Amino acid sequence: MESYLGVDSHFKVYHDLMQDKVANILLVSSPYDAFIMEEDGSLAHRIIHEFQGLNLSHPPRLRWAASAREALHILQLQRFDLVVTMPQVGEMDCFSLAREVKKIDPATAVILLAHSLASTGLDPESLPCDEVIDRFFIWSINPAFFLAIIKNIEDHRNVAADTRRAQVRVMIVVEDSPLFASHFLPILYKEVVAQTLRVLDEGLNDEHRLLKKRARPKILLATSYEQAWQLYGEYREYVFCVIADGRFPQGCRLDPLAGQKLLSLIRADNPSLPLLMLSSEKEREAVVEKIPALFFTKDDPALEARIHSFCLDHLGFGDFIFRYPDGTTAGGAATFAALEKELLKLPEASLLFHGRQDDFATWLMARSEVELAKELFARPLASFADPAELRSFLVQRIHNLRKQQQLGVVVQCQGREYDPEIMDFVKVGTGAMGGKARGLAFIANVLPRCRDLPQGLQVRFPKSVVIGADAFSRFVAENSLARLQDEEDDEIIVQGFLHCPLPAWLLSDLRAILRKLTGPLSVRSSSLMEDGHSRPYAGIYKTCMLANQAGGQGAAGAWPGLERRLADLGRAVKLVWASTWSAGAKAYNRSLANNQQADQMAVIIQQLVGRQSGDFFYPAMSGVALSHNYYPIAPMTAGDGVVHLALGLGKTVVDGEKSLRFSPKYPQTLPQFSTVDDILANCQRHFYGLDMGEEGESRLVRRQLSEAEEDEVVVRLASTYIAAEHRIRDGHHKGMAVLTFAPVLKYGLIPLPQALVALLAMAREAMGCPVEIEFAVDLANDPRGESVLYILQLRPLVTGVPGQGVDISAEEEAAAFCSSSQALGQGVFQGISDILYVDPDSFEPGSSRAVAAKISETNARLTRQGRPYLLIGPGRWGSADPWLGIPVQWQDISGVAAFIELQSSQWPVDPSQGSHFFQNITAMGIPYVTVKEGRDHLDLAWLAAREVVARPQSGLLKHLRLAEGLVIKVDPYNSRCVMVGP
Amino acid sequence: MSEIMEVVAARDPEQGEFHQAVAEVVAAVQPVLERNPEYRRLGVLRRIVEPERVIIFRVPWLDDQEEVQVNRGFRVEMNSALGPYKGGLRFHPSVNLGIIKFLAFEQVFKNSLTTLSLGGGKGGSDFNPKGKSDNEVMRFCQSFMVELARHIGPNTDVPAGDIGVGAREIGYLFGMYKRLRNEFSGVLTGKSLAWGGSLVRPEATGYGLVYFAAEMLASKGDNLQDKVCLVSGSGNVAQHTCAKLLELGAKVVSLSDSSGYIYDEAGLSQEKLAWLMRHKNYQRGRIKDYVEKFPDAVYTPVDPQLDHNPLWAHAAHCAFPCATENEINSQDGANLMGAGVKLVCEGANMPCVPAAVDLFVEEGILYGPGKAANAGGVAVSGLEMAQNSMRLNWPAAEVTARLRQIMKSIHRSCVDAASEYGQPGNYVAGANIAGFTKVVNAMLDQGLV
Repeated sequence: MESYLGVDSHFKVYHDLMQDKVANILLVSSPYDAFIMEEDGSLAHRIIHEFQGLNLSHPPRLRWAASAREALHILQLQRFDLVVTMPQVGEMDCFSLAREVKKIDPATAVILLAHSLASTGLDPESLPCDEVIDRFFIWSINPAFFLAIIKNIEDHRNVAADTRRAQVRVMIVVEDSPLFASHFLPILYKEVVAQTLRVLDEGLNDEHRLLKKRARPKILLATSYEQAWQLYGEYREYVFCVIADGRFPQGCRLDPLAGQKLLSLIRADNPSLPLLMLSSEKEREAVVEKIPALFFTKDDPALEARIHSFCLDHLGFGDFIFRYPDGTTAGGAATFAALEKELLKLPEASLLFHGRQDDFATWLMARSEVELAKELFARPLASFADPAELRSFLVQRIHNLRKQQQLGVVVQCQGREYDPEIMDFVKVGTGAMGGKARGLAFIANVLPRCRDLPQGLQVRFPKSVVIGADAFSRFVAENSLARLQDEEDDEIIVQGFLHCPLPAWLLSDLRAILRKLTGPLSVRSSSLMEDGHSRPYAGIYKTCMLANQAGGQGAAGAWPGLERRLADLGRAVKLVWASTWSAGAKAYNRSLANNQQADQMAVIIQQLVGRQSGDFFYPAMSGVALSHNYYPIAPMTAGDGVVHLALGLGKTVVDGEKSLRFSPKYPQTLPQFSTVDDILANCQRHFYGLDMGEEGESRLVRRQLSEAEEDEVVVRLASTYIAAEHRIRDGHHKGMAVLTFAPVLKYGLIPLPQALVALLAMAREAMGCPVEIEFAVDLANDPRGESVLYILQLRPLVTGVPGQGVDISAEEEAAAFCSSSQALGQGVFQGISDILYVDPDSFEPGSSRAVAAKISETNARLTRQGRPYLLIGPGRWGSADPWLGIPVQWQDISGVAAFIELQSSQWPVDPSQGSHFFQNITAMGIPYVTVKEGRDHLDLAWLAAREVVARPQSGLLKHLRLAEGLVIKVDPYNSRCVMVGP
Repeated sequence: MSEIMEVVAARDPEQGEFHQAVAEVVAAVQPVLERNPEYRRLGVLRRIVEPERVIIFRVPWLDDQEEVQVNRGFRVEMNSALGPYKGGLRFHPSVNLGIIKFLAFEQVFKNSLTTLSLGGGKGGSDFNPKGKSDNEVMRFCQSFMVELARHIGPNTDVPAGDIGVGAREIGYLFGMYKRLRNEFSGVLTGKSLAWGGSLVRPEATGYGLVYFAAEMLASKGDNLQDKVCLVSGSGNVAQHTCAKLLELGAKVVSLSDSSGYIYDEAGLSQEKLAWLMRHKNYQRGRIKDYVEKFPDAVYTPVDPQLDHNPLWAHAAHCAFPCATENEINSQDGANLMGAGVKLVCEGANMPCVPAAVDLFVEEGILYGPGKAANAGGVAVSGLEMAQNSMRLNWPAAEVTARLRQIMKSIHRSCVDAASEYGQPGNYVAGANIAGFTKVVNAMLDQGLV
């Protein structure tokens, strides 16, 4: 997990910012000083008030000590981030106290706070006074003052890490006077915080707004030339402004030209950086302007307003105000979206004016969009051929920026704001998103940090709109539908739901969304009960598919098909909701001991992945990838995962129809495709597509592959069976199409297996458990086009024992009549007291068909009696070749509970793999245990001593019965199995 | 007989399958041995059971994980009295010397019976193609051929495919041989059509079967026109048997698979057969689907309680068991007789249990044993060699015509041999004797080599 949280991403990175907070403050002052400060209002209250005003959580805790002695005593007991001391604190002076404080904890910052410079008794010319005092401020009644001090301490502590992690901007203020510093800092912080809040309006949801606050620019205070130059050097690429006093110490002497020298040096280094000198000496202005830099006098009564203007005009704070060269305005933009829109129609003169002044870059820089700002700074106006190129460049970059910002984010959205071009994943209404949507949101969120995705295949999410669960509750409440909750007839519930109107706000949001979202949609449940690492609820709730074909926009902006599409969508949403109370869902909940009353339903409306071919819409490929393979076959290991891949919609895979099973790490190792006959027997022959000819809830159609042989996607994914040569040739030739996916699995048409390996690894690590990813692939028609892997769903992998292995003890190993290190399956199996045993010593391959027939008879009898049994025999079970093992078919052993396959020098065959027979075993989770001579253990004497109830075939097949059931344990992670008899 | 079996058992005690094959051949040709003392005198049995050459070799290759794998390769060059060794290569984990020797021994007589100039051999490896990537199969085939190439050639030994060796493997093997020897020759059969393969290979066994049946009927002055035929199976052999039967005017009323059979009283048509071939070959569907498509037909599922297969109880003139071995038991045999069947011709290998065969011989019906009747596949392999030697690709009609001629020759050999040894009309004896005597006589002609 660490690796996924430690890497930059658009929002999660803010989690890591401002790690070093001032949480505990010790104020050391005489009761008199304290009284004076209290006169201005309780300090603690002021801090809390300021924090609340800024929506900042966790204000620091303040503790007061009346003397240095008391302070040191407290410091021995508790750690403080900041000690604020008045000059006189009892018998000890503030410097001695500071020294003692640093001895206790060098990391504790010490600030000297005085009512006036004079009250300190210090010589103003010799400041900074003592290095044990970190900062020196003069008390101000400005309510923001104390907060500014805290912020400034935090900024200094976090600047190194935060610039590195999130390229947080830095403003350097050079001011040696505690009085002016105490005055300016609150003003500057006010501007910076206001700007940050402004930018937050573009945040996507509350969480992101909160997070982004942590990325507000830092203000670093320097009190000497050397300090200032060092800070500049250290954070040069993050500095967005330098404000300097005129005179301040250089080389431990107060240098009247220090400010001038510093700004000139910085200007030489960065010609476009906004520089401002704040000086009491008005006569410096002309010199400063030559640097060039701006100049304000400190005693200007309108200084605060001037600083505000400076921030707006030169630092890009506030809205972007479009101007003409003559200064007249031509509109404004508060957000990136507005800027993108306005840029399209901005008069050329204004465009060029701002381009020339790098205003776009500055504005972006003030919003921490550093990369783009830098790119713009690096492109002078002259590098554009004409204004049109500049305009298109800016629009495209801003668009991409917006797109990039919302990747992996669930955007809380009101319908009219919906922009499918930008927003992949939005939520309308309030309430929970449900398990399915949450899983999707989670992987969308961690995906940007997946570093191993191969080139050549984009990974995205289909446009998704989640209707929060509150909509369901409100729909039920507004329409008094609770009465239907205990209804047993699903049709009555469905009709009840269909006859009631959707909440007006939802209808309005959906209408606005459908204006912009056209093309096939799936409408699926996202139950709140689906969250846990328990049951998948697969197929329990209704899923609807909609063609959602727009009728085209009318001349007057009317949408002829919109109301019809909205009606279809509304109906689909209601059907999904109604399925919450269906008999099937109720029964399923009962089986899981869930309180069905508690189930609420969020709904995901998802754009269907695919392309239209003839009347049918379907994706090139869809499937399910599992991070754990319980039936790995060498060289695969369980952790390599397994993928089930099919042409068309994913129903083929999730319903367990014939699809291609492969290990994404070994995509060319396909045991079920070993021979031509194997391929013909095991390849997919049907697939699902959406019939686009249908209106309303569209029909899923099961099509034969042969009907679609000329579809572009089939041509590109299939091989060809050449009957005259009885061979399968990869590629499209004259002959019958056979779906092998060879172009993808063998020839790297798209790096799907590699992408799935990376995604599974990432999701497994991020979720902390085995996972299952449902996906669909849109294959570009043109080899140079962009193919996309869409992630449709992520959920914890459901296992027999959720998230756990199976422990096999040494005692069990010792007591087992059978133990193996090559077992397929997972779990603990009990209650098996019948064994059908084919004696390998007396068995002859020539009689294998006869034995199979006898097994079939016994199976029929035991199945009727409800007695599951263990089947033991030599060679490969289920082989069609009687020389390799006993050629039973699935129906011959339908009641089997577990298999033992005996491998010896006489039967040196691999375990049954990939066959239909094997796939049934896989699907049903039946243990298949290989006992290899010399490696594993099967106690023949123990078997010989069991009661024989029948000999269905004399000398060959025995039916044993145990007094009590045996216990079979299969540990999937180590492929180990033990069987312990009674 | 016991003497030769003792020799074989003493020399290779672990080769059970081979012992069994030798015993069967010796028993079948006992009348020949009795009538020809020179065979005994010149030790033909002792010579014929000993391969002319056995090649066992190491086949090292790198798998996709770049791990070294080592398999064992075999080529048993059993007998070249009639021509270059000819026989398939089998890649399967069960392959060992005993199995390859047994298969090579049988191949000698099969090839002899075709009347073509083909010796007998067999080869393979314990390599398991299951789960191997194309690249792994290619690397294995190339390594296999690096050693085998020095032992084979178009005039020496011409391997073909078998289990685990299809068109893909033949291609890789051929490519490596061509590179090593710097020659493009007919060293392997089963090649792709574009580079030396023969047409009519998929059809060969089925067509040959019907040609053989036609010859049997012709020997009685009859033909297939309007004959009602029972066919079992629905795979490659059954399909092409039906196709040729329809072409020759017969009426096919049944087909089957492991689940059951269909009975179509109206008889299959070309259209029905075309549907069936696509359904089985491409869709891999079940035969029961036939009755959904053609509702006049009746489907009967397998009933394990029955001691017979009701397919064989329908009234018919001819029966062509093309499904699997032992599919006609003695009860089925009796039912066939009761149904009026006068000809049983085996498309599968040993589909009739010995008791049923005895019954057919006893009743004097026309019974064509598989080793003769289904030799069409081997015959077309021989024709592929001929085309390669001539650098010609015959059109399908020519291959079919030659196949027909070969089946006619095989039939004639069987009839003549059976007559010569006092068992006229006994195709079983005729096939065994004809295959054997042709090889043995050639060996004697060529001296003690």
